[in-house]
Amino acid sequence: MTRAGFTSPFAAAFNLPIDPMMAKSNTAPPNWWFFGSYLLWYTALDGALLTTMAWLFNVRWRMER
Amino acid sequence: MGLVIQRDKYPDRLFAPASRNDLLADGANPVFDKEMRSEIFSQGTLMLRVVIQVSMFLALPLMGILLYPWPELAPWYIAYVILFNMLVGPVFSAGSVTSERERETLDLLLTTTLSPGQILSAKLISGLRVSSVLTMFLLWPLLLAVVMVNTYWSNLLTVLAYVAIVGMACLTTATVALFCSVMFRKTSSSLMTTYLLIVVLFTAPLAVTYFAGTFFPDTLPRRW
Repeated sequence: MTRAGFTSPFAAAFNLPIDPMMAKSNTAPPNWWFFGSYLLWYTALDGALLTTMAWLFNVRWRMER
Repeated sequence: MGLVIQRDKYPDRLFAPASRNDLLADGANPVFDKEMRSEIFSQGTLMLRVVIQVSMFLALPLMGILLYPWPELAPWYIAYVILFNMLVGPVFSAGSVTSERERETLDLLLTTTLSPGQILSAKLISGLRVSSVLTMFLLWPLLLAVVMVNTYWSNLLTVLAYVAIVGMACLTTATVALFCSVMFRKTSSSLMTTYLLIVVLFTAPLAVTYFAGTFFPDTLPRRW
Protein backbone atom coordinates (compact mmCIF):
# COMPACT_ATOMS: atom_id res chain seq x y z
CA MET A 1 0.00 0.00 0.00
CA THR A 2 2.81 2.40 0.90
CA ARG A 3 4.45 1.70 -2.47
CA ALA A 4 1.49 3.50 -4.05
CA GLY A 5 2.92 6.70 -2.53
CA PHE A 6 4.73 7.52 -5.78
CA THR A 7 1.84 9.85 -6.68
CA SER A 8 3.15 12.28 -4.05
CA PRO A 9 6.00 14.62 -5.01
CA PHE A 10 6.72 14.99 -1.29
CA ALA A 11 7.30 11.25 -0.98
CA ALA A 12 9.40 11.31 -4.16
CA ALA A 13 11.64 14.03 -2.68
CA PHE A 14 12.01 12.22 0.65
CA ASN A 15 12.93 9.01 -1.13
CA LEU A 16 15.96 10.80 -2.57
CA PRO A 17 17.94 11.78 0.54
CA ILE A 18 21.13 13.83 0.35
CA ASP A 19 24.06 11.74 1.56
CA PRO A 20 26.15 13.99 3.85
CA MET A 21 29.21 11.74 3.14
CA MET A 22 30.11 11.50 6.82
CA ALA A 23 31.66 8.41 8.38
CA LYS A 24 28.79 7.86 10.84
CA SER A 25 26.07 8.63 8.31
CA ASN A 26 23.32 6.02 8.05
CA THR A 27 21.45 7.73 5.22
CA ALA A 28 19.28 5.39 3.13
CA PRO A 29 20.32 5.07 -0.53
CA PRO A 30 18.21 7.02 -3.08
CA ASN A 31 15.17 5.10 -4.28
CA TRP A 32 15.39 5.77 -8.04
CA TRP A 33 12.54 3.36 -8.85
CA PHE A 34 10.23 5.48 -6.73
CA PHE A 35 11.41 8.64 -8.53
CA GLY A 36 10.98 6.96 -11.94
CA SER A 37 7.48 5.79 -10.99
CA TYR A 38 6.60 9.34 -9.95
CA LEU A 39 7.76 10.82 -13.28
CA LEU A 40 6.10 8.06 -15.29
CA TRP A 41 2.78 8.33 -13.43
CA TYR A 42 2.47 12.09 -13.88
CA THR A 43 3.63 11.97 -17.51
CA ALA A 44 0.85 9.45 -18.15
CA LEU A 45 -1.73 11.39 -16.11
CA ASP A 46 -0.95 14.75 -17.73
CA GLY A 47 -0.96 13.14 -21.16
CA ALA A 48 -4.31 11.47 -20.47
CA LEU A 49 -5.84 14.74 -19.24
CA LEU A 50 -4.61 16.67 -22.30
CA THR A 51 -5.87 13.94 -24.64
CA THR A 52 -9.27 13.95 -22.91
CA MET A 53 -9.53 17.73 -23.20
CA ALA A 54 -8.65 17.65 -26.92
CA TRP A 55 -11.16 14.84 -27.44
CA LEU A 56 -13.89 16.81 -25.65
CA PHE A 57 -13.21 19.86 -27.79
CA ASN A 58 -13.37 17.75 -30.95
CA VAL A 59 -16.36 15.58 -30.14
CA ARG A 60 -18.64 17.57 -27.88
CA TRP A 61 -18.06 21.25 -28.49
CA ARG A 62 -16.68 21.62 -31.97
CA MET A 63 -19.00 23.58 -34.27
CA GLU A 64 -17.31 22.88 -37.59
CA ARG A 65 -18.31 19.98 -39.90
CA MET B 1 9.93 46.59 -2.52
CA GLY B 2 8.65 44.71 -5.53
CA LEU B 3 9.46 43.02 -8.80
CA VAL B 4 10.14 45.36 -11.74
CA ILE B 5 9.52 43.90 -15.17
CA GLN B 6 10.74 45.65 -18.31
CA ARG B 7 8.58 44.03 -20.95
CA ASP B 8 10.72 45.14 -23.89
CA LYS B 9 14.04 43.88 -22.44
CA TYR B 10 15.60 40.40 -22.42
CA PRO B 11 14.87 38.09 -20.54
CA ASP B 12 11.69 39.79 -19.28
CA ARG B 13 10.15 39.82 -22.76
CA LEU B 14 10.27 36.00 -22.83
CA PHE B 15 8.16 35.88 -19.68
CA ALA B 16 5.91 38.91 -20.09
CA PRO B 17 6.10 40.39 -23.60
CA ALA B 18 4.81 43.92 -24.20
CA SER B 19 1.42 44.61 -25.74
CA ARG B 20 1.41 44.18 -29.50
CA ASN B 21 1.15 47.33 -31.62
CA ASP B 22 1.74 45.64 -34.96
CA LEU B 23 0.01 42.88 -36.94
CA LEU B 24 0.23 39.21 -35.99
CA ALA B 25 2.47 37.16 -38.29
CA ASP B 26 0.81 34.71 -40.69
CA GLY B 27 0.36 31.26 -39.18
CA ALA B 28 0.88 32.45 -35.60
CA ASN B 29 -1.40 31.13 -32.88
CA PRO B 30 -3.60 34.13 -31.93
CA VAL B 31 -4.77 32.57 -28.66
CA PHE B 32 -1.17 31.99 -27.57
CA ASP B 33 -0.22 35.55 -28.53
CA LYS B 34 -3.18 37.02 -26.68
CA GLU B 35 -2.63 34.93 -23.55
CA MET B 36 1.10 35.65 -23.41
CA ARG B 37 0.57 39.39 -23.71
CA SER B 38 -2.32 39.64 -21.29
CA GLU B 39 -1.81 41.36 -17.95
CA ILE B 40 -0.47 38.62 -15.70
CA PHE B 41 -0.18 40.48 -12.43
CA SER B 42 -3.82 41.46 -12.27
CA GLN B 43 -4.70 37.77 -11.94
CA GLY B 44 -5.54 36.22 -8.58
CA THR B 45 -6.87 37.75 -5.42
CA LEU B 46 -5.19 39.90 -2.80
CA MET B 47 -4.98 36.70 -0.72
CA LEU B 48 -2.91 35.05 -3.45
CA ARG B 49 -0.54 38.00 -3.57
CA VAL B 50 -0.11 37.83 0.20
CA VAL B 51 0.59 34.08 -0.08
CA ILE B 52 3.26 34.76 -2.71
CA GLN B 53 4.89 37.54 -0.67
CA VAL B 54 4.83 35.58 2.60
CA SER B 55 6.12 32.42 0.91
CA MET B 56 9.00 34.30 -0.70
CA PHE B 57 9.88 35.88 2.66
CA LEU B 58 9.65 32.53 4.51
CA ALA B 59 11.95 30.92 1.95
CA LEU B 60 14.86 33.03 3.26
CA PRO B 61 15.13 31.49 6.77
CA LEU B 62 14.10 28.06 5.51
CA MET B 63 16.82 28.10 2.89
CA GLY B 64 19.36 29.24 5.49
CA ILE B 65 18.48 26.37 7.81
CA LEU B 66 17.58 23.52 5.47
CA LEU B 67 20.05 23.93 2.63
CA TYR B 68 23.31 25.17 4.13
CA PRO B 69 24.15 23.89 7.68
CA TRP B 70 22.26 20.59 7.31
CA PRO B 71 22.16 19.59 3.61
CA GLU B 72 20.54 16.26 4.55
CA LEU B 73 17.39 18.31 5.30
CA ALA B 74 17.18 19.52 1.67
CA PRO B 75 14.07 17.35 0.93
CA TRP B 76 12.18 19.50 3.45
CA TYR B 77 13.02 22.60 1.42
CA ILE B 78 11.84 20.84 -1.75
CA ALA B 79 8.61 19.97 0.10
CA TYR B 80 8.20 23.68 0.88
CA VAL B 81 8.66 24.59 -2.80
CA ILE B 82 6.08 21.96 -3.82
CA LEU B 83 3.65 23.28 -1.19
CA PHE B 84 4.11 26.78 -2.65
CA ASN B 85 3.32 25.45 -6.13
CA MET B 86 0.27 23.60 -4.82
CA LEU B 87 -1.11 26.92 -3.56
CA VAL B 88 -0.11 29.13 -6.48
CA GLY B 89 -0.10 26.81 -9.52
CA PRO B 90 -3.84 26.21 -10.00
CA VAL B 91 -4.77 29.90 -9.79
CA PHE B 92 -3.31 30.81 -13.17
CA SER B 93 -4.92 27.97 -15.14
CA ALA B 94 -8.19 27.17 -13.36
CA GLY B 95 -9.96 30.12 -15.01
CA SER B 96 -8.48 29.89 -18.49
CA VAL B 97 -11.50 28.22 -20.17
CA THR B 98 -14.19 28.99 -17.57
CA SER B 99 -13.44 32.71 -17.98
CA GLU B 100 -14.17 32.30 -21.71
CA ARG B 101 -17.50 30.72 -20.76
CA GLU B 102 -18.26 33.46 -18.23
CA ARG B 103 -17.50 36.17 -20.79
CA GLU B 104 -19.46 34.18 -23.41
CA THR B 105 -16.50 34.15 -25.81
CA LEU B 106 -15.91 30.37 -25.86
CA ASP B 107 -18.51 29.70 -28.56
CA LEU B 108 -16.90 32.36 -30.72
CA LEU B 109 -13.49 30.75 -30.17
CA LEU B 110 -14.88 27.36 -31.18
CA THR B 111 -16.14 28.72 -34.51
CA THR B 112 -12.58 29.63 -35.57
CA THR B 113 -10.31 27.29 -37.54
CA LEU B 114 -7.99 26.89 -34.55
CA SER B 115 -7.42 23.27 -33.55
CA PRO B 116 -8.12 22.13 -29.95
CA GLY B 117 -4.39 21.52 -29.59
CA GLN B 118 -3.62 25.16 -30.44
CA ILE B 119 -6.21 26.47 -27.99
CA LEU B 120 -5.22 24.11 -25.17
CA SER B 121 -1.45 24.50 -25.60
CA ALA B 122 -1.83 28.30 -25.56
CA LYS B 123 -3.89 28.19 -22.37
CA LEU B 124 -1.58 25.66 -20.71
CA ILE B 125 1.70 27.41 -21.53
CA SER B 126 0.45 30.86 -20.52
CA GLY B 127 -0.71 29.60 -17.11
CA LEU B 128 2.29 27.36 -16.62
CA ARG B 129 4.86 30.10 -17.30
CA VAL B 130 3.60 32.28 -14.43
CA SER B 131 3.36 29.49 -11.87
CA SER B 132 6.64 27.88 -12.90
CA VAL B 133 8.57 31.16 -12.91
CA LEU B 134 7.24 32.02 -9.43
CA THR B 135 8.10 28.50 -8.21
CA MET B 136 11.55 28.57 -9.79
CA PHE B 137 12.32 31.75 -7.83
CA LEU B 138 12.30 29.47 -4.78
CA LEU B 139 14.62 26.94 -6.46
CA TRP B 140 17.43 29.42 -7.08
CA PRO B 141 18.68 29.02 -3.47
CA LEU B 142 19.12 25.29 -4.12
CA LEU B 143 21.30 25.95 -7.16
CA LEU B 144 23.26 28.50 -5.11
CA ALA B 145 23.70 25.92 -2.34
CA VAL B 146 25.04 23.42 -4.88
CA VAL B 147 27.78 25.91 -5.75
CA MET B 148 28.59 26.85 -2.16
CA VAL B 149 28.20 23.60 -0.18
CA ASN B 150 30.48 20.75 -1.22
CA THR B 151 28.12 18.07 0.16
CA TYR B 152 25.92 18.60 -2.89
CA TRP B 153 28.80 18.02 -5.31
CA SER B 154 28.63 14.29 -4.68
CA ASN B 155 24.78 14.39 -4.86
CA LEU B 156 24.33 16.25 -8.14
CA LEU B 157 22.05 13.59 -9.60
CA THR B 158 19.77 13.87 -6.57
CA VAL B 159 19.66 17.66 -6.92
CA LEU B 160 18.71 17.32 -10.60
CA ALA B 161 16.00 14.88 -9.54
CA TYR B 162 14.67 17.51 -7.09
CA VAL B 163 14.39 20.01 -9.95
CA ALA B 164 12.58 17.37 -12.04
CA ILE B 165 10.18 16.63 -9.17
CA VAL B 166 9.32 20.32 -8.80
CA GLY B 167 9.02 20.76 -12.58
CA MET B 168 6.63 17.83 -12.85
CA ALA B 169 4.59 19.20 -9.92
CA CYS B 170 4.32 22.55 -11.76
CA LEU B 171 3.15 20.83 -14.95
CA THR B 172 0.65 18.69 -13.06
CA THR B 173 -0.95 21.53 -11.09
CA ALA B 174 -1.36 23.54 -14.32
CA THR B 175 -2.72 20.56 -16.30
CA VAL B 176 -5.21 19.51 -13.62
CA ALA B 177 -6.35 23.14 -13.31
CA LEU B 178 -6.80 23.42 -17.08
CA PHE B 179 -8.72 20.15 -17.12
CA CYS B 180 -11.09 21.36 -14.38
CA SER B 181 -11.43 24.64 -16.26
CA VAL B 182 -12.56 22.70 -19.34
CA MET B 183 -15.01 20.58 -17.31
CA PHE B 184 -16.70 23.25 -15.17
CA ARG B 185 -18.77 26.31 -15.98
CA LYS B 186 -17.64 28.59 -13.14
CA THR B 187 -14.07 29.53 -12.22
CA SER B 188 -14.80 29.13 -8.50
CA SER B 189 -15.96 25.51 -9.00
CA SER B 190 -12.97 24.79 -11.21
CA LEU B 191 -10.50 26.24 -8.71
CA MET B 192 -11.94 24.44 -5.68
CA THR B 193 -12.05 21.09 -7.51
CA THR B 194 -8.46 21.58 -8.67
CA TYR B 195 -7.30 22.19 -5.10
CA LEU B 196 -9.19 19.12 -3.92
CA LEU B 197 -7.66 16.87 -6.60
CA ILE B 198 -4.16 18.22 -6.05
CA VAL B 199 -4.40 17.79 -2.27
CA VAL B 200 -5.62 14.20 -2.66
CA LEU B 201 -2.98 13.32 -5.28
CA PHE B 202 -0.06 14.93 -3.48
CA THR B 203 -0.81 14.34 0.20
CA ALA B 204 -3.08 11.27 0.52
CA PRO B 205 -0.08 8.93 0.02
CA LEU B 206 1.64 10.67 2.94
CA ALA B 207 -1.42 10.05 5.13
CA VAL B 208 -1.43 6.39 4.08
CA THR B 209 2.28 6.09 4.85
CA TYR B 210 1.81 7.74 8.23
CA PHE B 211 -1.09 5.43 9.03
CA ALA B 212 0.88 2.36 7.98
CA GLY B 213 3.95 3.54 9.92
CA THR B 214 1.88 4.16 13.04
CA PHE B 215 -0.20 0.98 13.11
CA PHE B 216 2.03 -1.44 11.16
CA PRO B 217 5.54 -0.17 11.96
CA ASP B 218 7.25 -3.46 11.06
CA THR B 219 6.08 -3.32 7.46
CA LEU B 220 7.39 0.15 6.61
CA PRO B 221 11.01 1.35 6.24
CA ARG B 222 11.00 4.76 7.94
CA ARG B 223 12.67 7.49 5.84
CA TRP B 224 11.58 10.65 7.61
